[in-house]
Amino acid sequence: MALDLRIVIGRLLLAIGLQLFVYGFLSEGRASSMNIAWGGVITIAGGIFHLFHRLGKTA
Amino acid sequence: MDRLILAPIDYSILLTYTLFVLGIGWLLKEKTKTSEDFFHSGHGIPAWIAGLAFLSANLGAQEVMGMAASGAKYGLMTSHFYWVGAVPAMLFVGVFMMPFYYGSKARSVPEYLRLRFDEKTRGLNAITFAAMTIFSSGVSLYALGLLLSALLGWDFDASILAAAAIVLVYVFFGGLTSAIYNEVLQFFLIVAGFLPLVIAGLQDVGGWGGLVTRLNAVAVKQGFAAGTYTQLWQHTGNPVQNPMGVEWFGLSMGLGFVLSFGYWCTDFLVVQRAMAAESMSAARRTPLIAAIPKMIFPFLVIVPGLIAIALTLGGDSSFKLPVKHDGTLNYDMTIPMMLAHYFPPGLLGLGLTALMASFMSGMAGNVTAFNTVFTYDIYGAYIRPNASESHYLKVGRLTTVAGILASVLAAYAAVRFNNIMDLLQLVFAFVNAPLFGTFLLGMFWKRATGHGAFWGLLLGTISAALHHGLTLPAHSVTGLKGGWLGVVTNYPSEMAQNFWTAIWAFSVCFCGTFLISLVTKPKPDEELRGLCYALTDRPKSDGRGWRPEMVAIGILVAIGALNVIFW
Repeated sequence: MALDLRIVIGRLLLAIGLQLFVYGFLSEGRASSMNIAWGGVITIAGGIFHLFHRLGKTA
Repeated sequence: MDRLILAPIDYSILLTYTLFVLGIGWLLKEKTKTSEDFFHSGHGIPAWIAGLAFLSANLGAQEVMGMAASGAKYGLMTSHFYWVGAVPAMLFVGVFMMPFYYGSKARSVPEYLRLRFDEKTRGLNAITFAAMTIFSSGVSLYALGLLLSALLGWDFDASILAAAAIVLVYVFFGGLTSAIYNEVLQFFLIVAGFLPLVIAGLQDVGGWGGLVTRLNAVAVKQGFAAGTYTQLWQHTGNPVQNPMGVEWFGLSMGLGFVLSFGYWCTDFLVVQRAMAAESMSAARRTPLIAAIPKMIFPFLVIVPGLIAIALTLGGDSSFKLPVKHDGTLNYDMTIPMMLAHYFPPGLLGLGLTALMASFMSGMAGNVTAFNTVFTYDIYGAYIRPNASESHYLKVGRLTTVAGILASVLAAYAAVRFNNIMDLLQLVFAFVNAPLFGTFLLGMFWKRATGHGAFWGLLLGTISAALHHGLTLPAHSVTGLKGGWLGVVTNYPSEMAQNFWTAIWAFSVCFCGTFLISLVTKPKPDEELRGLCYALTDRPKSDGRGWRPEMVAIGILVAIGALNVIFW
């Protein structure tokens, strides 16, 4: 494969998730809780794709 | 409606996505050296990526916004477009048709038609398909410009030119691989952007139980039986019993058989993704992998529509769908309005990025299918056959530029003709529905001939036009909606008219091809090996992973269960 897509998906999700997560801490009310919650979920999803990449490499 | 004001965080997320997309194109530039790389991703795409791209190629923003709009208008019956109108056909193409497409080494669907039938059948399909992709890509661009100008107040011209430039950059450099990668990114963005919307909406209406209660009240208010908006088959005995205006036979035969199989089995836009897979086994698994999320997608894209109509007509919420000039609800704005209602800054940027990704990858999908068919089946066949590999790569890149420019022109044509979306749907019914008849006979009846296929296709298309010209949906005026030859029959809805147009086109093409084939000379068996079911060795399992047939049966059982649960 020309470029490992697991890494690309992982990095995009991390980049978006972290932005939402940090923004959540800087805002208030519903914006804060929703961005922290979903930013966290998206960041974890990004991390899982990185893990898939690592596991794939090891295998 | 009020315009949305985006916060810096929303722009930041949009910019992040744009940089990733352009970066992918740039990184793939060095690895795209031959026409094989550019048009077929070097046949090196793993099954899971090809599968998600196969699904996402059909997940343009028009589809996402359209399905939510249909959910609001017709209720859960919209799921028929997935559970009846897509998944069975996806299983069929994976289990039965992919061995011919992949095994024949054809580079495109029109080229398969040349190998199986003859040059004129390939030419007819290549020209109609190329025109369709440009139309479709232009409509995608037009819809993007319209949405951004209405929702955000962005300049229409600047919006479509910027989107076209981004798509041009990544397809020009990375070809099909770039388009496929971005389709997969778009899939994850749609999931990440829409899942919070569904959860927030369901919380608002009191969960699934609360939604059903509200929708039952809406159905009764609209003059239907309670349950009409949340049941799939219960109210299809008579077309007047459901808001879609269709009965079970038209639904099963028109959507479930002709339109669905016609699209998923013969449209090169989706088939190209499976043909780019790394092996025959991966190519067969591609549509099956796609079928699994496809089965679940109604919960992501149709449920927001159900929530929107429940809130708008079902009581006390501050959420209301906007009303059009003629007093009817503007269902097309369901998704943008839901995003604006439920999402704070940050998540709103993510939701809009998911929509924009869908628009752009929908356009890129059409452009990659166009450049392949134009280069191989029009330029390589009629203008300059037997040219060098590097020459076709150059032509492919130039065709990408030409395709994008033509799409921009088509987008501006759409501005002038505000019914171009309806026209496009009509063209699909005219072209894809009869084509499935040609393929069915071509792949499973070795006696089918080139003359039979060509004239059958033409007759099928003509019969679709005649049926359209002689029928009219309720509450429509003659013209683009039909009846331009005189009204013989009225249908309760446009949907019902579309289904029956497709049934006629398929039946006439099938019968025409069959009868003409009987009186014309077939190709000898030696020339049909690998192209016809009876003359092709069954693909053997490579012993690794799961067997496609078993997975297909499992998915069919799951689909059956969903239909029973929501009967």
